[in-house]
Amino acid sequence: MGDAGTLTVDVGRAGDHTVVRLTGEVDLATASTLEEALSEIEGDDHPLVIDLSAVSFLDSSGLSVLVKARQRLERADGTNGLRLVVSRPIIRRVFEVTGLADVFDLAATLDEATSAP
Amino acid sequence: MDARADRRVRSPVVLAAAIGLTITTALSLTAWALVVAGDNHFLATQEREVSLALQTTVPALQDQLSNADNVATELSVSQFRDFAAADVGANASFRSMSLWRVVGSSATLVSNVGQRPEILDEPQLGKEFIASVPATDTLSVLNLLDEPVRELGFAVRLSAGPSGYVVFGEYAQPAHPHVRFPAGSNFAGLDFALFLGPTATPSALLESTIPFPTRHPTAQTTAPFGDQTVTILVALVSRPPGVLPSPAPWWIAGGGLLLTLLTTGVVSRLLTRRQLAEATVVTTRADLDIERTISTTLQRALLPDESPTFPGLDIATRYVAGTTGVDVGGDWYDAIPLDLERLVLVVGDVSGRGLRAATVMGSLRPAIRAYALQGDPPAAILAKLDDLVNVERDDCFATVLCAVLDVPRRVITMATAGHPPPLLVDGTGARFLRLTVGAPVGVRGPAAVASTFSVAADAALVVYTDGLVERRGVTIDEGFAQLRDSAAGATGSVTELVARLAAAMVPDGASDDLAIIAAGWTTEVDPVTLARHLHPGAATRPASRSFPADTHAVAAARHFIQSALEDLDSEVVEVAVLLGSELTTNAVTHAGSGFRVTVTDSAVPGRIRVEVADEGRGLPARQAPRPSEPGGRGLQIVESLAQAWGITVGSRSAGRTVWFELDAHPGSP
Repeated sequence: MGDAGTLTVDVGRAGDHTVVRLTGEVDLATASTLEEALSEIEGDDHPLVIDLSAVSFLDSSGLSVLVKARQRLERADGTNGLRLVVSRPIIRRVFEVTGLADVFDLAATLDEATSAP
Repeated sequence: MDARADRRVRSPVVLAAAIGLTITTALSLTAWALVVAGDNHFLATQEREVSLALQTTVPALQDQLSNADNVATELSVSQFRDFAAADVGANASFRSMSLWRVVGSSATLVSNVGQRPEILDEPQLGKEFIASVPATDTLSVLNLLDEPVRELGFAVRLSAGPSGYVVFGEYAQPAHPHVRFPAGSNFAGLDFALFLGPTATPSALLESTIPFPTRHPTAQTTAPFGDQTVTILVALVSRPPGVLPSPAPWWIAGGGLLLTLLTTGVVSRLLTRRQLAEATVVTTRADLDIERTISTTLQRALLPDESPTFPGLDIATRYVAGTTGVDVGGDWYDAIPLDLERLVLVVGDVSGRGLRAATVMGSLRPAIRAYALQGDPPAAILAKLDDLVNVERDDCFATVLCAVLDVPRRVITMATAGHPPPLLVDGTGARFLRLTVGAPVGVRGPAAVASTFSVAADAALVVYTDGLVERRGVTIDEGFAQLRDSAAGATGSVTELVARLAAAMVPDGASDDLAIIAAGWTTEVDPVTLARHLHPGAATRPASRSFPADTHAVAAARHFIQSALEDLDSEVVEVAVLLGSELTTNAVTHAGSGFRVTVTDSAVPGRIRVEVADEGRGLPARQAPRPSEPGGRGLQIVESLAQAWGITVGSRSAGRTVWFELDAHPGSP
């Protein structure tokens, strides 16, 4: 389950995409870390990919941050350049049972997320 | 019987046979030697007597002939004839007596008295014989046994000069040589045969008193007979008194063999029987050992491994194996938790010892447990046990005491089937609780009736088997009084109480087996201990821990939940950890207080239960948020993934508990 209550946020580029790679657990204690990191990323022309494949735990606190980020990045035409990479079944289930699997654009791998839509 | 055992029988038998045969042989040989010696002695005696008798015969004949010769020489021929006539005839010694004139080597018959001499039929042989008769004092003997009349010839010559007279007498032998001597004869009573010559030649048989040849033991000797020799053959026809009969050695040998056979037979039979007896003893001893091992194992297996525990009670047990006898008894105790508040204490004693007692105990104990767990009250449990034991069928019965302790209400409900009364100890002292005693289990009689007692907050109930109060030299009433007095002054834990009672009542070890179980009320009830009683199977549950009101406590609570569920599949643990995280997040964010997480097995079989208790008030919002709303999804996740969940709000004090339950083994039927 990784280090208890820790989260690392790395921001980088993959071609045209801005990639935010998360490593560790996302919960009440670490959600603020994620929120701060995401707030610094402007909704520029580069599509944003948040890679959750190295996240060992994510609960509703993490969902809350992601939903806020999605709202902030929403474009005027209602489209959104945000994509999520979710590989762990339990995390995918969290998105599913909350109905957010249909709201977010989920990809199974980073390659899938950075390929043309 | 194996080879070694066979040898153990065979060697003494061989020894007995050898000794018997040796003794028999020695006795037989001795008897044989005695018989032979006796025979030889008797034969020698006969020989001597025959020989002596013979020796008296020859001089008599010689005297007659010498006297006749003297008459002829000194007087005249006619006087010889007169003289000889007395010795010749049917009633005299000689059949004939003749006087011969010998000159040199020629002999001339001068005169003859009696029958015509047979020597005349052999003129040449006769004259040579007569002429060769020497002038000695030895009688010359001539064998005429082959002549028509069986005779011996005897001749005597007195004058040693170139001429002289020879008197020749012919002595008739019996026509048949087998004769019987009249009583008074020197030969009377003797068994013998006489042969002329140095050997026992049948043709030279003079006379015999027994049929010849004979089958009787004989001895042979020779004796001088004039100038010839007579062979004397004596026979042992009938043994004189005092002499061992000749078959005696055979009788002894036969008797000895018979005795030897009998002895070896008896020895062999005795040894075989003894060996069978020894083998039986060994087998029986081995059987007893096995039975004891089985019954001991059985009993140990049936007693709880460690003293049972129950929330709100302090429990102590003791089992003391009896010092007399080799078998374990049928004593046992048991403690059966019914729920968080009620505990059943059982103590029982199956009559008798050993495997049977242990087996009956082994059937009663689980039955009581099953009846208790299905909710039967004490009297009903005891009544049902009668189906399991029957003194007429099983040759044993059992006394059983069954007590239900309602811990929070401090009420004891008890029934007894022939068992000694329970002892109640509290701050005021010790007393026996009087119950309506039913008949022992397995014996027809009055049914047990339950009695209910309310007890003090510091009460302790002691139930035991009669080994505690029954001792040699002490009446049962004295035993009960001593037990009560020993308990009355007790202070401290029930463990100390039980130790004190055992030390007072059976200081040197119990003669009979005994079992004690005591339960005393305590004030503290630990919730984990409480929960653990209901779920004794799980190694890591129940588990409960308090956490501070801190965001990092959420991660700590997740890891606590994970460790409490480490025996389950990771898929179940992931969901439990996720839901636990949601509940603890709520506790930290909404109640703002510390919280307590408890992980247990659910009352619903196959489920685990996680409770998060905080000091918050009221109910959290449960409606599903819209997609744009950032929060409020925690309970949505819980509701979606838990098999059951809920909120309990405390009635008396502030605080609420949110809980959820998950299938511990999803996918399994």
